[in-house]
Amino acid sequence: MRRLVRLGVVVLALAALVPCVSAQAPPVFRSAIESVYVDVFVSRGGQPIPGLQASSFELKDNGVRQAVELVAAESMPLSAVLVFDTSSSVIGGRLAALKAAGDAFLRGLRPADEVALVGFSEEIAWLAPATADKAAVRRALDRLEPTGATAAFDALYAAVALSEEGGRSLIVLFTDGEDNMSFLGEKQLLTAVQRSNALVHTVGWRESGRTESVAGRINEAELSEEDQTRALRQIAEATGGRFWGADLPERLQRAFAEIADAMSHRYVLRYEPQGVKRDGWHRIELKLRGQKGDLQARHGYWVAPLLR
Amino acid sequence: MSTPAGRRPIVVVAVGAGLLAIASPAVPAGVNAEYRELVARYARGERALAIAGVARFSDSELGRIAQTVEAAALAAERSKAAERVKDREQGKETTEPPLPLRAAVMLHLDLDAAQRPPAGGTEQPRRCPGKQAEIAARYASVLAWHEETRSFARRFFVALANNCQWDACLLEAQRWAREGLKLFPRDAELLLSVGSTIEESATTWAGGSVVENPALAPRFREAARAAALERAAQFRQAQYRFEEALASDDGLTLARVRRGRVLWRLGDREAAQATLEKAIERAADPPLSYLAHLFLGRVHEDSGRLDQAIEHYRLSLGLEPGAQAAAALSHALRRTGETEEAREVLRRALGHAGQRAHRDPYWDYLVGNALHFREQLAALRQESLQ
Repeated sequence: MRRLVRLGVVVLALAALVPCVSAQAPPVFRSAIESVYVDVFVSRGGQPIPGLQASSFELKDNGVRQAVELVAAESMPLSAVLVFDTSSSVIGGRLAALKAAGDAFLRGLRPADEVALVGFSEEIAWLAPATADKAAVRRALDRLEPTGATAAFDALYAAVALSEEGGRSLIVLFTDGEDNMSFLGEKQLLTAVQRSNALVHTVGWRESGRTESVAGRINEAELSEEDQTRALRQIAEATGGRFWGADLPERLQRAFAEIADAMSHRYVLRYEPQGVKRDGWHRIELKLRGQKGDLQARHGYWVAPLLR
Repeated sequence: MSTPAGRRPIVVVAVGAGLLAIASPAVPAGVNAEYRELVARYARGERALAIAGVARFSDSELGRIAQTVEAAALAAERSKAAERVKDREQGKETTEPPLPLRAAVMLHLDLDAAQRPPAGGTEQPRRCPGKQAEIAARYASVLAWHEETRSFARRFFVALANNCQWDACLLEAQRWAREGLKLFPRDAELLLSVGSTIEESATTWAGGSVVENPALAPRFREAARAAALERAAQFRQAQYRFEEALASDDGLTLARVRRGRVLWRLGDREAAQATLEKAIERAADPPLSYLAHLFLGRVHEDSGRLDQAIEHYRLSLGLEPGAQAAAALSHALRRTGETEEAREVLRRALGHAGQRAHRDPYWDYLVGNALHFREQLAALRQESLQ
């Protein structure tokens, strides 16, 4: 993926005064002058709440209240990656629905936003490199050909790892079956996304009354949706994103359109951590002041120790 | 997963005797002459005609033929038993029955395949081998009685189990491998087949969560724990089958790699490491070395030995430039802070996508020994011709 030289949104250092740092995860806390960015979606009854100010938010970093300011989200182009399941279970109507959903997502982006397309079955491939040319990505979408098994976790890991070069990263994973080919496990992937600066949304396709399992083969045990989507939900929510379930083409399309649309309704908070230890996991607690609403934001961020 | 209806246990003695009776000049009354002729035509290479002909028989009719044969043949077998013992004592070779039993086996197996629609792809539903496969297995059991045809019978059960595993019919695959083991109790290939189907079942089982989710309702948490225990029990069973396979054939490196893998899944890292290191020493072909290095890397990574993990992942990736080995190496590098190299490894791997000359062995690992079922069946089919 092309290197993106712009501000990261979720967590990003503003300066790099210390020359030798661990390169683990996003480049956070490189010096005493550091900033953390938190990408937040605020809604009530499913509708975004507009017009909030910095004073509308109360944020604690490892239990210590921080002074936050609002950054104009619209000034930051997105770096989006669509990670699409192209295994053989997508053959037919699902593929058409997925292409339409991808197109709906592209229509929701702004001209300066960049987007890449990753396809995965048992292999993982860049089908379109990061580009602001949406037509090029549409052409790649049109060429999707389902085949093989499902390596969703490995593909999502690749997208996360390659999107860590800065920028306001958004990753949208679509899969219609259970992962049966990844080397990395749920725990490893969860840790990787927690320590990245990407906002991850996961979209699962479930036909009512039928679930898939055993190397993507049909599982007649009809396990609960909780079993099937737990990992995808957990991974998305850890980054401030969410899991979207779809069982009809129009719902799939709507989910992708809403994901793109929500990016322009999100708030980006910035703060310089005060009164907290630098290294390790930082738990973020975020609340609204003076009004009710649902908040979606990452639960924390990771700062790798400096290499001595 | 569909289950063939109307299954019955194979009564080896009865079936064996029955088909010997078919082979004898005194064919029991009630055995359809047209049926016998169709089997003979299959043996002469008229496969399509024979398959179409037997397809016209109803299941109940075929069942009656089998029952008739079994009853008559059992009596014939008893009368011949003493004579056969005498022949064996004198070192005389027993002769294969004149009726082309191998052709009967393959005829019914081919008919079974013809009656099942092909799957639309890797992740598409498919039907499992059914009643015709049952009949084929009964005939194969008879062949196991004769020294000349024992090998055919053994390979039939291996191929049938592999066919089932390939079609994701894991219970059926286990069943046929176990039926084969009744006739060939310490056969390494059949033991490997049982073990690998159990391993596949445990690995891909949707209920087997590995991530604790405190947000789960208590009843789901309990279910998740129960599923994890069940899965562990399956891995343990697979481990024992691989150990039995190795006891029969110490050179079966795939069984060693699989044993290492399930020991890792069971959390027994020391034993997994020792097993995989031995597998690497003995692995003669690159795909097995690739898998052994990949799995050993994971054992080291989970044990906190990242440098050794990276070393094995690099060796693995050097043997096969696949996405999974790249993801493994990249992830381990990232954990040590080498994020730029971690990205570079991924960029290279993703750049190779679609350009490989052969499939990544990791993709085939779960069904590894089932991969060759088509060749196995083709060889048996060829042998069934007269």
